[in-house]
This record gives sequence, structure tokens and C-alpha cells, in this order.
Amino acid sequence: MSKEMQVLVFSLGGQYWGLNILDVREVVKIKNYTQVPGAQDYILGVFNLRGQIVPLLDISVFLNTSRGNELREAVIISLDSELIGIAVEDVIGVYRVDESEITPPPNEVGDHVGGIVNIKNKTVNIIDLKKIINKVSGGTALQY
Amino acid sequence: MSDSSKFVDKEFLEVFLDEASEFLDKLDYLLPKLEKEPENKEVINEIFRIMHSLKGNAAVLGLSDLSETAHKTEDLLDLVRKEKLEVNKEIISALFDVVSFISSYINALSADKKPELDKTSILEKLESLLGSVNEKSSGRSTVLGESVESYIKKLEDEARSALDFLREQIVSSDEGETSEKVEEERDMKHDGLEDKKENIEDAQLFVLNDVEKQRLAEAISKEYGLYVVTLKFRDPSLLVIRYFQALQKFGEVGDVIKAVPSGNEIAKKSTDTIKVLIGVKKLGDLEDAIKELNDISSYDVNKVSLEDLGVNKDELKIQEPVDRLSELENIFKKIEEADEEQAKPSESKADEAKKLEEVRVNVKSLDALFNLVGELVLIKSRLISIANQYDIQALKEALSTFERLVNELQNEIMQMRLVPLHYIFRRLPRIVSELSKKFNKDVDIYYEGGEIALDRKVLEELSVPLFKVVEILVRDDIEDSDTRIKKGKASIGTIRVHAFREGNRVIITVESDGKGLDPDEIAKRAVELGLIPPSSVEKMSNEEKLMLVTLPGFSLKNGELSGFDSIKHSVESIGGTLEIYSKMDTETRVTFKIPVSMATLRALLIKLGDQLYAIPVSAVVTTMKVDSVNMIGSVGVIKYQSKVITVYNLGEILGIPTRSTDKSYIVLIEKRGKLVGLQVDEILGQEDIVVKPLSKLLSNAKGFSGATILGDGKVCLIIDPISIL
Repeated sequence: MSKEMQVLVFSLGGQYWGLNILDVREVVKIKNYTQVPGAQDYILGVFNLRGQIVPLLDISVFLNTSRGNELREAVIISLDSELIGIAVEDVIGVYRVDESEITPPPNEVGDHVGGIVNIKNKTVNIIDLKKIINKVSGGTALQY
Repeated sequence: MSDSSKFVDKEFLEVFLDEASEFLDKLDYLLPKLEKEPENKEVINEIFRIMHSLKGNAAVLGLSDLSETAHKTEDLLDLVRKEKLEVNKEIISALFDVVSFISSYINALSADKKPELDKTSILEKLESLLGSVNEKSSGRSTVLGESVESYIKKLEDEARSALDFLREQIVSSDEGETSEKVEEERDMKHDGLEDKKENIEDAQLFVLNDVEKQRLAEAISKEYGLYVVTLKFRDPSLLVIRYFQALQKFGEVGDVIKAVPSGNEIAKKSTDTIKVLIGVKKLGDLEDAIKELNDISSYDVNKVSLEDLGVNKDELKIQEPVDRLSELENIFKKIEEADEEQAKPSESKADEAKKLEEVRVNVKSLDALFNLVGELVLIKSRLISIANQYDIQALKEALSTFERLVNELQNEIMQMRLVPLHYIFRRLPRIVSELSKKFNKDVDIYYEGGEIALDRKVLEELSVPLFKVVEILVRDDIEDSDTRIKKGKASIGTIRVHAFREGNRVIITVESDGKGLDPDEIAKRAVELGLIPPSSVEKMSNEEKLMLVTLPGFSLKNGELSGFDSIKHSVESIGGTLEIYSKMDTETRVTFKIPVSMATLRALLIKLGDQLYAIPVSAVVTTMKVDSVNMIGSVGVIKYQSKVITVYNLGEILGIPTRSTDKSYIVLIEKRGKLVGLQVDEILGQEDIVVKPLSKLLSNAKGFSGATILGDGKVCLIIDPISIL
């Protein structure tokens, strides 16, 4: 028997991406955020999530995709005890997929994609969050 | 989610780490004390108990290296307790080694790493100390022979009278009456008899049902001795786990007949004590099993007979041989135990009562609560401004009560977060002792003001810079004994740490009586290293020259006085300031001025581009509006009180596009005694803000000391104007 996995699917740069639902805390609408002068390019800024100040990341640079449309929603993940927002265009939904249906990505896609799966005739790249986080935190500042 | 954390159970690990760091704190205080008072029994006992608990806890989590080290240390201390060994330099040094081993082990665990430390050298050291005693011990006992004999005789007498008393008691309890006279008599008899009294009370707890009687019969048939074990646990919240651990352990060495409370009741009972009726072959096995249990604050083992249990031998259909001798043996044991027990300082009733009034709260919950109240304060300000804006009388009235309540709530929570400085001060003796050894100096440490409380977050951040200053002073200021004697100073150097409250701040000074810091040497060196232009030295005061040691990269030729930059940075990150004073060959004094709490900050709100920023009012001298800023080359200047002041465009420094207007707003700040102007687009006024830390991910963005949430819910960055320039 194979295992099922729930994938949160979102769009970014005209492509569909997936995150293991277990990595996701919640999804919020991006209302406004404060830019932080001098911070790394991929940091859009910080915003207020119920009293906590949460950095908002644009991970499109790590996904080798360009950011086309407006980033409307933030997928909140938890790192150590810190929350991080990942800015996405739109969250499409949560889908159950059978782990056996996930195929390993071709090499040229890059190591940030853990696998590829077809959901409702759309190709969804499942993101290897660990890899992205390691890049974001320089691999040392934070442990995932 | 990391694999390395899987080698021990996370939940237990957290409890363990909590406890272990408490132990380490205690050891930091106890070891230097032992060094000074090697005869102090209480200190030895305390360290012994810590090692004992640590050994057990570590064993449960499978941390065998730690458990083994603690075990050997416990053995060593046991010999000291039994006066087979005297505390000497070697033992002290071994204990220090053990503590630093445990400390690095615990640190590695806390950092979620598998500790890879070499215990062999420590174990060898302990072994050799242990070995040295075993050789000597045989000779020693003959010297003691005579006194031991007389001691045994004394015990025998006591045991006999105890037995007599016991018999009496059984008779009277069979008759179902306990006269007051008997009570009085009991109290008057020897202390050892207290146990006897308990013994009977214990036995009465155990009313056996048929199944339990069957177990009892089996135990008796194996000629097992019957005991009531009373276990008192330190942490009642873990009682359920400890209970089953204990029963499991006991099951390995004998037959558990009954436990009070029962397995079903245990989760509902609020108690820290359990009693177990057990049959074992050898009392030693039982005691070994108890020693392997965790978290025991005290225990007691009492032998009981069938009569005590109110069970008729015939009921069990097995004849129990009357064994007076073994009973006597047990009484001996008990008296010995009682003597040992006495060595432990018992907790007073008052302490126990106090415990009930205190609750342990996870720091995370406290932080969360603190955050929520911070939010509440902001909402309060918002509501008040709405009430004022629309001039709603009813709302204003309701809000005045609301405001008072919120303020009280905030105060309470701030109080809850306060922790006395003692928590870090008491580690000073061990640290100084270790540093003295490392740098080959003789140093005494004195500290006062440990009762002054600071926010725990501030305290946490303070310990590193404080210890670092102490290290620098021991290393670079205090001379070695020979030099000191030549100078006519006391051969032992002194470091004094002193804390006192001044308004909303706590002032902590660290003084040493070493050679002192030479301001001219420091200034010369700073120029040499290219940290400051040679021309600037002339105008500098001695204080300013001394502060040059805090420049990044500063050190004297042999690396002396390095490390002040990180100290300054840490102190400033908690909103404090650092001052250095020195008088050659007399005194060097480093002063921290630390806010009691990081909670709220009075800030000036300014605008750059379309974003608001906050500048702490404490850094601001004044603000002004000028028609224009004169540019001399690329530097702007203005005149203020007939002084010419350099002005920087804050937006340019931060890389923010700013509006260029004719009118300019200037925020005057003071940096190292010099006035500097910061040009901003707009000044909006002052506000109390709740300071929140910025994510570690934003470490690239320099010049911000935190962030806050404004009344409209937007995040506003707090500029640290001193570090930005």
C-alpha cells in the first residue's frame, strides 16, 4: 500500500508549485508589508501577523522562475520557533496525491524541486522546502 | 525535523535539559564554595545528590557517557561523604573538569547535536582518585575499629528498645486503641522510632484484596522479605511516568504486591508520594533499584511483617518462619539510613507551602502572553485616539477603566518576567576560578546586588557580555602574583561586580585592581591599526581614547583587550550602554547601564519616502526644522547654538529614495559626545512602542534594532541611529 500526501498547490511565475501540507501553518492574504532597506533581495519585507513580525520572502529567485503577477497571498511556514511568510500569487487548493504518482524531477529543473506530480491535468512541482530554507538562511543561521 | 534529534525522546529531553541546566547552575555555585570550604558536608552532599540525579536521568535517556561520568563522580563523592577521602586540590580540579564536561555535553544536546566529547581523560582522573582510596581504606578501618564497635553496640541497644516498642504498638493497635499516653511516649523515645511509627501507618495503608493476598502468599513462599517503599518525587507533573517506571523497576527485583495510589488513581491524585508494598529477596537489590530511579527527592524503605499488614498467616496457608535476626538487621539498616537522612537538610514546612503558591510556566507561554499584552496596549492607544477624534464621551469613560486594567495587566506581566541578577552572578565564582587557572592568575571575586531583578530576556542577553568583561579583566588587567608583589599590591587580584538600580535602569559595574588601561597606548594602537585617523587623537579625552577598544578589530600587540567590540554590541542590542574607566595601577572599571525591561520604548516617529520609522527618544537630543542645509562638498552642515554640525541624509544612508523638499527636518543625535544631524522627510511626533525583535533572516539589514507594530497594524522599523553612522 502506498502512502498519501496532501499538497498545497499555488501559482508563482506562471507555474504551479506544491508544498507538503505538513510544512504549512496557514495561508493569509498579503495586505501590506514594510520594506527593510539593506535586506537581501528575496526579502520583500516584514508584516504583522497577529502581533508577530514575520519576514515575507519572494522565493521565485530560488525556483528559477520570474515573478509576473501580483503576489497576493502568503503561505506561512514555521522555522525553529520563527514564522516565515512565502509570498505566492494565488493558492489554488489542497490536493491528495498518492506518493507513488510523484516522479523524480529531471536534472535540469534544479535541486529545489523534490518531485513532479500531475494534479487535474496540471503539472505541479513539489518544492523541497529544506533546500530553499537552507539557501535562505545560508545553511547556518537557522536549522530546519 | 532533523535526524540528529531522534536519538533521544524529544519530550523527555526537554524536561531533562531543564533539570540539567538547573543542576549546572547549582554546581557553578557549589564548586567554588567547596574549594573555599572543603570540609563543608552540606556542599558535598548537595553535589553528591546532583550527580546522583544526573546519573539516573541520563541513564533513562540512554546518554551513557554522561551517566557514566556522573556515576563515577558520585562514587568519588560518596567516599568523601564517608570520610574515606579528603577534599584536596586534585578532587576539586577533577570536579571542575566534570562540570565543564557536563556543561558542554548539555550545550551540545540543547543545540540538538549529538555530543561527541571525550570522557576518557575525566574518567581516568576519577578512577585514579577512586583507586587511591581503595588502597588506603583497609588501613583506615583498623584505626577506626574501636569506635565502630562501640557505635554498633549503641545501635544494638537502640534497636532492642525499638523492637520492644514495636511489639507494644502491635498489641495496642490490635486492641484498636491508641491512648494519648502512648502518643506522648512515642514522641519521647529515640528518633529512630519515628520510623517504626510510620511503619505501622504504612502497613495500615495496605488493605489487601484476594489477588494481592495471593501475590503476598507467593512472595512469602519464596521467603522474600516484605518492605514498604515510600518514594517522594520532585516533580509531581511527571508522577504518572515516574510511577510506572518505579513499578517496572521494582518488578525486576522482586514481587510488587500493591502500590498506593493504584495505577488507576495515580493520574487523578495530586500527590508527590507513592508507597509500594513489595517482596524482595535481598534488601540491597531493592535499594539498588530505587537508586536507579529518577527525580526522587527522598525515599524510605521499611520492613513490614504480616502482622503489620493485618494478614493472618493461616490465610496465606504458608508458614512464615519467625526471623528475629533479619528483623534486627533491618532495624540496623534503618537507623543507618535515618542517620544518612539527617545529613540531608530537610525542607521546611514553609518552603513546601511556598511551593504550592508557585507554578512553573514555560518561557514560551510567558513570551506569548507578553506579546499579546503588547498588542492590547496598542489597541488601547488606538481606541483612545478614536474616542478623542469623534469625541464620544461614553467611550472615553469606558476606556479610562480599560486603560487602567491594561496597564495593570502589563505591569503584572513585566513583574512575572523579572529574574534576579543572582542567576547569572552566582556563576561568577566558577568562571573566575576557571579563568584564573587558565591564565595563571590569582583572583578573588566579590559580587553584590544579585537581588536586583531584570527582564529575563535582558538577563539572558546580559550574561555573555558580562562574563566576557570578566574574562578580559582577568586576562589582560590583573597581573600575576609576582608582579603584583613587586608593585606592592596584594598578591591576589580582586574583581568586584556590583549592581544597583538607578531609575528605570540597572547599573552594573565590573572593577578590577590590575595594571589599568593606558589611554595613550590605546589611541596609538588604534591609529596604527588604521581604525581612526591620527589627527583625531589630539582632541580626544581620556574616556574617548579608552572607548577606542570597542572598535571592531581593536587589540593591543599581543591580542590584549580584544573582544570589547562584541561586548559593546551585545549591550547595545538590549538598549544598554557601555562605559570604561581606568586609573593606572589602581582600578579598571567597566560599567553597563541596562534598561530593566526591553518592553516599551519612547520613540520619535519619522518619515522617509512613504514609510515610517522609529528612532528611540533616548538617542535624540532635539529636533529642528531648517530652511536649508549647506553643502560643503558632499557633507551637509547646519549651525546649532553657534556650533557647526555635520548632517547626514538618513534616507541616503539607508538607501531609501527620499523626497527632496526645500524645508528639511533634522534630528540631532549625540554620538560619542559629538552632535550629529540626521536629515529626514518628516517628523510625526513621539509614541510609546513595543519593541519586537527582527527575524534572523534580516541580518543583512544593518542599522535596525528591532521593529514595532503601529496603531494601524503596520510594521515600523526601529532605527538605531548610533550604529548607522
